[in-house]
Amino acid sequence: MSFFIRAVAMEASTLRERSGIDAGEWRTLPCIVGSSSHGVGRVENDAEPRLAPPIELARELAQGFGVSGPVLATSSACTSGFSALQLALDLMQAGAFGHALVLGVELPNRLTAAGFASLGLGLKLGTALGALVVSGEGAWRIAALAWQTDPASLTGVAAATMKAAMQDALSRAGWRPADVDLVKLQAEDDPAEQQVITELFSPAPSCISLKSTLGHTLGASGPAELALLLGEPRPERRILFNLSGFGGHMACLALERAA
Amino acid sequence: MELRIAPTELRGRVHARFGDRLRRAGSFAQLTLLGAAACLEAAPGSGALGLLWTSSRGAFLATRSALAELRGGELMPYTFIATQPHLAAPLFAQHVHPLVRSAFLYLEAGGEHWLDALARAWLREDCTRVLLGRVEESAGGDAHLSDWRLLGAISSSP
Repeated sequence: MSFFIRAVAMEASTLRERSGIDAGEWRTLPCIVGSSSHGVGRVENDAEPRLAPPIELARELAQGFGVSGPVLATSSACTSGFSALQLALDLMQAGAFGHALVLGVELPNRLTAAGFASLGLGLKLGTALGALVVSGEGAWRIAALAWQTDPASLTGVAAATMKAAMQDALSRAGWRPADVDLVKLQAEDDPAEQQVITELFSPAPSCISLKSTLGHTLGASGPAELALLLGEPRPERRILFNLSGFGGHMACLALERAA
Repeated sequence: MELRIAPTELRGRVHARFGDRLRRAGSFAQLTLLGAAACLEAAPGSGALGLLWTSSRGAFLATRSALAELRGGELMPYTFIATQPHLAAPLFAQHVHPLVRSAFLYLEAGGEHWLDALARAWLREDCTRVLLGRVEESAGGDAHLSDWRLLGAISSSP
């Protein structure tokens, strides 16, 4: 069974129209939300913050998109948005639903900024909302979504883990390295990722990083960067999309333009 | 397997099972590992393992501590790291058993059946066993909760 990215957006207003799903069916869509901070920014200035269950923000987002199907939320730091995508794919594969709204969201908050400052990682952080409609048809077929985790590295991903994820994505998609037209990098200036590109590809395909445009948008970064990348017509046919983060998680999404 | 642990007993229980290895992990990760490890060790079997768990509020205590530190002007790195509930999965993989899949979920009331649906999907794909859990940190004087069960694929061979 194949699944596709049917529509992308960085706001709610245009997504349904782009998806071509009629209003009645749209309202029944499930909404799966990934975020590293959920709604913490809303209460962090309160003297005695009331920490609402994170599912409440996910439900509000679903309402904002006009869907009233089941709502699930997940968290895996910078890969949260792709964890949400993976849950959608698993449940669609199981026949739970035919389309899914997948959101990656990172709202403004001081806690995350201070947390990353405390770790001394020197990242330029951003906030974003990225929205995808995953479906049985669409412009971009999900040829593979491969994951690797390096449990010994809680705050980063080693080159070997990145390479294993990219090789797994190529294998699951049935592609050779020479089939890849574009690699969306996790980061523009990551020596480990550059090393893996050099080892896997000869010659190297075109590479693009979107962090200089959006910043590190953490849990939103997968869907938000996908929305930015696929929101305009692209000449490439096959794309590898890297995403990594806290917990040693590395995801590699293989996308193929639908025939 | 359901563990209910008084907040005052958590540190001792974690030390008895894991020594100093989880000293810097927050209570949410500690509860996740204690419960999931006990469930896994109580059931015979082997094979590719998935970890799938839920909580209504996640790493609530670490988040509350992190916000207090933020108001005080200095957020400590390990407090921040402990706010991320999913980090229990790599810690479990490092200290208890390798994982081929993991996911941490927040669910609506009545949405617990999604855990079973996902576990069945994983069992059809690349897992032979899936640990399913619910972890709730104590909100006051009550006990912490770490409630787990292990699902396995049914073999079709005689």
